[in-house]
Formats: sequence, structure tokens, C-alpha cells
Amino acid sequence: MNTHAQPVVEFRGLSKRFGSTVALDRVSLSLAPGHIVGLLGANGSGKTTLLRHVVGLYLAQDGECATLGCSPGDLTPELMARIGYVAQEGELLEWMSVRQHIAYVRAYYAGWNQELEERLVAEFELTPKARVASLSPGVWQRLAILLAVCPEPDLLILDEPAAGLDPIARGQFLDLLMEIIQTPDRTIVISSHILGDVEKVIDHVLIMHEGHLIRDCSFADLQEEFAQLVITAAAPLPDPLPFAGMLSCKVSGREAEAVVRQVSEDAVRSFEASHQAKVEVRGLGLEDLYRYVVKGEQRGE
Amino acid sequence: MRILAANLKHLYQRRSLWLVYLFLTSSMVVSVLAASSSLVYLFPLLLGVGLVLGSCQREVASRPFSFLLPRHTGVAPRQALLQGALFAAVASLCWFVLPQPMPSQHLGLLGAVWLLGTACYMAGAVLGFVLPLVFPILGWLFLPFAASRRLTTQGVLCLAIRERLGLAALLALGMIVWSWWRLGRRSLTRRWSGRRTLSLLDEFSPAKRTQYRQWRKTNKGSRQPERGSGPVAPSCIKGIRHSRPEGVLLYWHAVRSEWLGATTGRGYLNALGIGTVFLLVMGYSGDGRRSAVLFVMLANMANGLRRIHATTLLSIGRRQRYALAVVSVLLLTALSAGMAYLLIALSHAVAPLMPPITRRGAPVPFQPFPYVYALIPTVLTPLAFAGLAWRKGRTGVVMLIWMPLFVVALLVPQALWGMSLAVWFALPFVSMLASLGVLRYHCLRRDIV
Repeated sequence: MNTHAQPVVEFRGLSKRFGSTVALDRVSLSLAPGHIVGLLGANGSGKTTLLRHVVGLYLAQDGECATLGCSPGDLTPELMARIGYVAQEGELLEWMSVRQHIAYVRAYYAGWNQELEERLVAEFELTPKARVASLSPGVWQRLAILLAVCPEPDLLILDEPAAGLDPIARGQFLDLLMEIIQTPDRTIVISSHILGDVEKVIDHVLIMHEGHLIRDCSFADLQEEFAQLVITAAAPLPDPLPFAGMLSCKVSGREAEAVVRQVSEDAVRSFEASHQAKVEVRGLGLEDLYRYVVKGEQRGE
Repeated sequence: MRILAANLKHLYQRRSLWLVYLFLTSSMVVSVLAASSSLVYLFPLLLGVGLVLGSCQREVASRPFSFLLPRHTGVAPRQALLQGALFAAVASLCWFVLPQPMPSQHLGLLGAVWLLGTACYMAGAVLGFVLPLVFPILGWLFLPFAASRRLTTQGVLCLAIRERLGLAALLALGMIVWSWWRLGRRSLTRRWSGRRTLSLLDEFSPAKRTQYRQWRKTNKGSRQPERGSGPVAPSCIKGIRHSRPEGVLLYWHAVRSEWLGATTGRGYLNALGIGTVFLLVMGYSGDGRRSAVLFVMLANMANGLRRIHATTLLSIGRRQRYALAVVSVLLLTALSAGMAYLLIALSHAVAPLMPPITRRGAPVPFQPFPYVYALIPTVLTPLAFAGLAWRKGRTGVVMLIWMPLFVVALLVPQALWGMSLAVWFALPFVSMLASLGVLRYHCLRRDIV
């Protein structure tokens, strides 16, 4: 990540406890502007708690936080206007109509993008007269996204934004994220379980596990760290395969598939030569990458 | 200004507030027509309106998106002050000026009343913002209203304001400043953001109250997301587990998990405790007919005891659903009648021990309730049960039906006071038949969800 620009979000040794439960344990991170950051983790791993610290809903018990260079508890209205937030609960003012709700939120922002609003109302197929209470969860979520995006924030926090969206709406939503990020120095932090979608847009990965931040790296680095080897040989292959850092291996006669960590080009070439085999190196999808990182953490690697 | 205007629009955008305006307007009309200018009515009324509208502000604050709206925190005090000043001005005019034309030298008094009214509204708004439930507080506000029957325009409060105008104004200003400071605190909005709250009419919806209590239980002492409820989850699991066997066992488990199993002992104790307090008050009402209100309330509370709808958990057909509804309504009616009978028996048991009190120089003895009043819940419970089943989820509509029903229920026993026992005993059967008819249509013909 670009470390020269001033970080949009910076945590140093952040901890948070709820009674005896440790929700965040000495989390340190620094997010530079201009990235789409994927925040991944199992249920209860601390993702939402982390995001709530970013916007100032939770205040740090231990450690330090800074959002847009300011303590989240002291965010000024000007700084708040630079942050967009779609909460996991996604609760809106259900007694209003869609039009009324948009007008209500618009009143708070000087830099509201009216053109974007009109476009999204049409694209998301929102009915202005419909009451928010009568909207389906998916449409409700689209409205929440519209409300967070139209102020054109510098930092957009999305906590499970795509959970209620159908595939078409998810596609539109991802396109929208790509469009938003075109503006220089904008940052999007997206927490989601739908990893197949997230991997299309993110360029940085944060992985949480039981309150710890176990991975903070670029998506490209994570993809380089793990590799899937598809092997075809002239003679039967040994089981297990002789690779260091092997995470899984399936050998079937002269064919094999393996997932290895930090395999070098030399090791692959050497294997090809010694076993008269052809090795195809493939990248892993985000879902597999996440699984192997968490498994590695559980094994204490 | 734009932000404040956007927030003031809630006043007409929230349809549930129209019920409040209806109540407020009718109170003012009654006050003007009755030429009653008792200030004791005015202040609790404004406190109550502040409570309700303050709870609306709390609801907006509980939505996570609102936490990051720039300058949103500053809106709450400004909105409360403006609304309070407006409501207090209208109320002061209706209560204080219109009933009896006021001499010009009393303009200072009107100003002090207006200021105190605004302060009361703002204090109510603070309470509404801070407290999770407002309607129990509104219930307690009923007491000053009831007490005001004994006070006139020259009542203690009014006299105090007349005699100490400056002090009253100073007190009001102090209250306004404190409320302004309290409503404008960022920590208050942070506290509510993302928390589940009950909206204005949700407090009358058993299902939403249940959800809210589950959430409260789960989140006691923490702000973590919902993970399920301790006491209710096992009850639900039992309901599902026992949905397999046919016959008596199914009905027993369904009924048990619907309102016996999932209602805590504290719920029953609360009902009985409140009933006992009312029993003591109503025993001295001097007119046995007024005590009917106690049993009308009991019928209402019995319906509120239902916590979870086990029928939605059980994999059963429509006929079984109807049979379950019949079993439930019969048992619930029996339970409310039993509780009423218990209170009546208690009133007879304590009557010899209760000393007479003196009111306006005359002794008022404690009067036990007539046993025939145990029939009131048997008339109202089936009707309320059917009504709630019919309009489940439309609390506003239920309230609109229930409020006149409540008034009718208060008047009917008085009208029937001298009637024969045959009429008294016929009414529960008529009510039950009507209820079963509605439930039959609801369970067998209507869309269930």
C-alpha cells in the first residue's frame, strides 16, 4: 500500500472488550487513500467492531485511532461529510417514502451529487413514492447504498452491503464502486461474505480472525503467496508431493493437484525436470485464499 | 435551517403521530369548551407530548446512517426547543386564554406559563430520548391528570406561578438550558446508534416487544450484535422439536411455548402487582361501577402476555392452526378471568381490614368488587385476541380499533349495572362466538404471512 500519502484510517494497538469478550485485540493498521479494501473474516471475528471504530460509533478502550487524521470521537461536521457509511443493520427511517428519505439525507450535504442520485434511482429501480417500510430487503439495501454514495465521500465504509442484493444488483453495485474509485484519493472499505464478488474490485485485503488482524497486504501479494499447482507427469507421481509449504495435495496416478505457499519458480522447474512432469501454476480465488490464511492462523503458522 | 426544516417534516411524515395530534386536539377542544384553565393539565400534557416526540428523535438517532450525518447532533436540541415553544404557545392559549378572557396585566403570567410549558416539553423530550420506553412513563403521567380533578385554577401550582413569576421563569430557563445541553451531547447519539428501539406504536405490538426484549436480554452489558436469546431460544427449539407428535402433546407444547413457556414469572408478577395497586385505588373510588376499568385493563394485559407465535414455528396445516388458535383463545380467556377472579376475591378478603378514608369531609369505605366483573375479561379477551390476529403487524390500526373499544368497554359495564345476570353471562358466549368466527376465517381462508 502507498505509505507516502497521509493514511485515511490509522489504528495503533486498538483493543475493544465487551465484558469478558475481546472483540479487538491490539489491532494496528494504516489505510492509504485510493484503494478498495476488502475486510474479510468469519462471523464474530471483529469486522463490524473495527468499522464502527472507524466512524466513531465505538471509542477505543486501548490504543489509538485516527480517521481522516482526526480522532473518530472528535470528527467535525466537515470531516463527517467526507465519510459514507452503510451499516450492517441497514436500518432506515421506515415511516418515510423513498423520495422523502433521500430528501432528508440530502439536506445535510452541501456536496450532494443530484445527478448521481437520479441515475441510481433509475438504475436501482427505486420507486420514489414507495414507503421504506414496504421495501424488500434488497431494495432497502440499494437505498442505503444510494444514501451513502451520493454525498461523494472520500471514505466509504460498507459493512455487508451486498448481502441482500440479487446478482444483477450486485453487478451494478460493483460497477458503481469501480466508478467511485476513479476519483483520486477515494477509499472504499468493504466488508462482505460474498468473496466471489469482492475479489473483482478490491486491491487490498484485511483479514480478521477472533479479534486479531491476521493479514494486511495487497490482494496481488496475497495471490502471489499462494498458488495452485496442476501437475501432469509421464510416470506415477509420489504422494505426498515434495514441495515445501504444501497446504493440500491430491495425487491420482500421473496427475496431481496441490496448493502450496510461497513456492519458488526454481522449485517448480526442478520438480518438472526430476519427474518429467508439466506443472501449471494457477492463482487462487479470494475464497480459497481466505480459507488457507485462516487455516494457517489456526495452525499457528 | 435546511437541516432543521428536514427534521421538522417528521411531524407530518410520521403517520403514528397523527394519533397524538388527534388526542391533543380533542384535549384542547374539551378544555376550551369546558372553560377549564387548570395549569395542572397543561404541564403534564406538554411533558407527555415532549416524551413522544423525543422518542421519535431517539428513533432517528438509533439508525446508524444518522450518526454520520453532519451537524445531526445539534439538530435535536434546536428541534425540541422550536417544537416545544410552538406546542406550549398553542396549549397556553387554549388552556389559559380562550376559556376565560385574560386581563392585560396577566400577560406576564401567560409568558411564564409559556416558558414553563416549553421547559416541560423539553424535559419530556430529554426523557423520551434517554429512556428506551415512553408509554410506561405516559402511564404515570396519568396520575397528575387524575389528581387535577381535586385542583382548580387556583391550585397550588398556579398560585406558585402567580406569586413567584420571576422564579418560575428562571426555573423554566434553567430547565431549557439543561435540556438543550443534554440533547446536544454526542455521546447520547452514540449510545443509541445501531441499537434496537421500539417505535411509537411498537410498544403496543406483542411481537415487536418480544423481539426488543430478546435483543435487550442478549445485549445486556454489551453492544455486540444480536446472537440469539437465552430464555426464548430454548422455548422455540422445544416448540419445533415437539411439533412432530400429533394430538394432545402438540397442543400442549404449542400453547405452552406460545404464552406460558416463553412468558417469565416476572411478567405474571408484574400483572398481579399492578392489579393489586389498582385494586387498592379503585376500592376507594366510591363507586363500584368505576372499578370496571381495572378488569378492562386486565383483559388488555392478558393479551399483551403473548410473547412468541409458536404457530409460525410449527409445521402444521391450516386446520391445526385454527384448532391451536381456539385452544389459545380459550386458555387465555380462562387465564384472564382467573386473574380477575383472584383480584376480586382478594378485594373481598382485604375489605374488612381496609380502613375508611375521608374525602371532602365524608368517610369513604373500601368497597370490594362484584364477582360478576370477572366476566369482563371473558368478553374482551376473545375480541382483542381476534383483533390482534386479524391486524397483526398493523399496530396503528389496532390502536384505532382498541381505543374506542376501551371506551365502550368502560361504558358497557356501567350500562349493564342493573341488568340481569342472564345478560352478563350471555355476553362472553357472544364474544367468543364472534372471535371464533374471525379466527376461523383468519386461519383457514386468509394469507397467513
